[in-house]
Amino acid sequence: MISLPLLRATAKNNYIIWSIFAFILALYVSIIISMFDPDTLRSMNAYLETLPPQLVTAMHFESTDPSLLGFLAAYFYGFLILLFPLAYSIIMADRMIAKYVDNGSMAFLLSTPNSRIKIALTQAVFLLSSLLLLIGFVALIGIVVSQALFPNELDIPRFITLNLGAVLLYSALSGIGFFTSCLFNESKYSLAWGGGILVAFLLIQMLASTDEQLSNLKYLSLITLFDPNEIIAGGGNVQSALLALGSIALVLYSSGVYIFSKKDLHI
Amino acid sequence: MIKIENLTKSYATGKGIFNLSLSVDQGEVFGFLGPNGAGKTTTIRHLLGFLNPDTGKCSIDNMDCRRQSAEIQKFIGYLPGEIVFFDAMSGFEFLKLMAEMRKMKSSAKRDQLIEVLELDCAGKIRRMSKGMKQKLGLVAALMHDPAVLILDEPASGLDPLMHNRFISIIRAEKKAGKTIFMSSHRFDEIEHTCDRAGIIRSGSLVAVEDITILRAGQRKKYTITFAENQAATDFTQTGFEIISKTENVVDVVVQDNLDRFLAVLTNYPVTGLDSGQLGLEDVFMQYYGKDESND
Repeated sequence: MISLPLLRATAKNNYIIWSIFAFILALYVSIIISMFDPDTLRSMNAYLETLPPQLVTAMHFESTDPSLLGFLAAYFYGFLILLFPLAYSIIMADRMIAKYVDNGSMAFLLSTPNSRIKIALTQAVFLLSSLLLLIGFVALIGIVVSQALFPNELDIPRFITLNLGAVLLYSALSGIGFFTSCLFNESKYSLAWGGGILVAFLLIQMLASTDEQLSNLKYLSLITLFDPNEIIAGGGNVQSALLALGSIALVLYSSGVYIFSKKDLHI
Repeated sequence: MIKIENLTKSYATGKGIFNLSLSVDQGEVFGFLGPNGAGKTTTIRHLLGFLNPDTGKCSIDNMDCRRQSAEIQKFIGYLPGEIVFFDAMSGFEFLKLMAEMRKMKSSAKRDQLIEVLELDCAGKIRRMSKGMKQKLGLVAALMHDPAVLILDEPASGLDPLMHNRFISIIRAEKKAGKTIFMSSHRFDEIEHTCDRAGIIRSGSLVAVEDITILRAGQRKKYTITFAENQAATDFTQTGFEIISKTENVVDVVVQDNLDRFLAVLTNYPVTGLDSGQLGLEDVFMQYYGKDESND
């Protein structure tokens, strides 16, 4: 199914980029955990309860889940997780296929007895597993730092569920980049379209959450399917939303591989 | 062994290849000639299965080049026209990756080629010169001892010494019964290795000839330096095909009248005589329009 020598070479070629992103994310998750102060959050929430509920909603002061998990869901998984792995996906997806086609090195890979499907699947497996490892690594650091600073504060099973959600989100988002990487013969188009769509999702997400009138925009963004607060609260729609993300990922990756196996390669 | 039938692939720019048919037998060395942009690389990309033909088809050893590409790759060696590798790798890492992806068992041929071509493959590919990259590409194309070689502009970037080694490598491969298809835009590059040559122009095959026939019709250019201008002027009146005359130096083309040429020359005070290679280029010139004769 996949070519192990190529997988090793791709990993060797890209581990530095992975390490940089892993380091930044680990740093951020540690800083955010260290900023957690349960007492402040509790007193804030207690104060909000004394106010008229209409006022609170109007001012967007909905009380946050006062646990460490709720704090992380709001401040790390609500925004930072949308920033760095997104950039990682954009850069890496292009490097998986389009870059090799653009600069011609794909010719060497295809002059070995490995089908295009096998080559593309190998690259897909690398991209997906590197994202899994990236988020897994961040989750691990999150657990270790939480246990060190606030022993037994973190609801670990739910924290892991939250990270699984993030993995599914990124399977779908990186699928868009992988698809454009397979579709276009030039890196600049792969980056412009793949990156453009992902950045548009992020901007829509930010716009939709700032203004009530714009909140319907959220249906235009895949990121809406990943709602950290819903996931830790165990809301009813969570399972279907995550299932949808998984299916979108499957469709995008497999159609990318299919298109790559059929198209003209000017290499 | 290699069969191209009515292959057509046209591009919006008007370029492409049109209704191209040719075949190369087992053990034959075929030179594919044409100026840049004539469609040589497009044809080769079809042989490698990189492109889908508009119409027609090509096959190697009776396997369809597009559909059975991975199968065919087991016994062909390919050198791309533009050598771009994985920059960040060293030459050795690259060869190792290619060997692993081909599940190669022996590295004897690889080591032998590295030695013959004096390839230094320890450094990063990014820092290699064009000639060094070309050698690395040749090693990658030949190291698994494939039965069919497809080489796109194999001699470009090689210095004269390495070009001679390249020619002896190709001859050795031919002796070992390999089928070789190589393209070039320079006729002298294939003259010493090929059995037959095909000429492609603006996407159409204009001629296929045995190399012996082409060489028999080969014309040579001689540059004669006379002792005085008057002798040069007199010589131009003797009925030879004169290319140019500047003062006492005359360029003349000689084909099958060499003995008369020499006899006539003895009547004049000659101080210098150089022969220049017109090579196959001149023979092929009739297939090319005048507009491209300056390339």
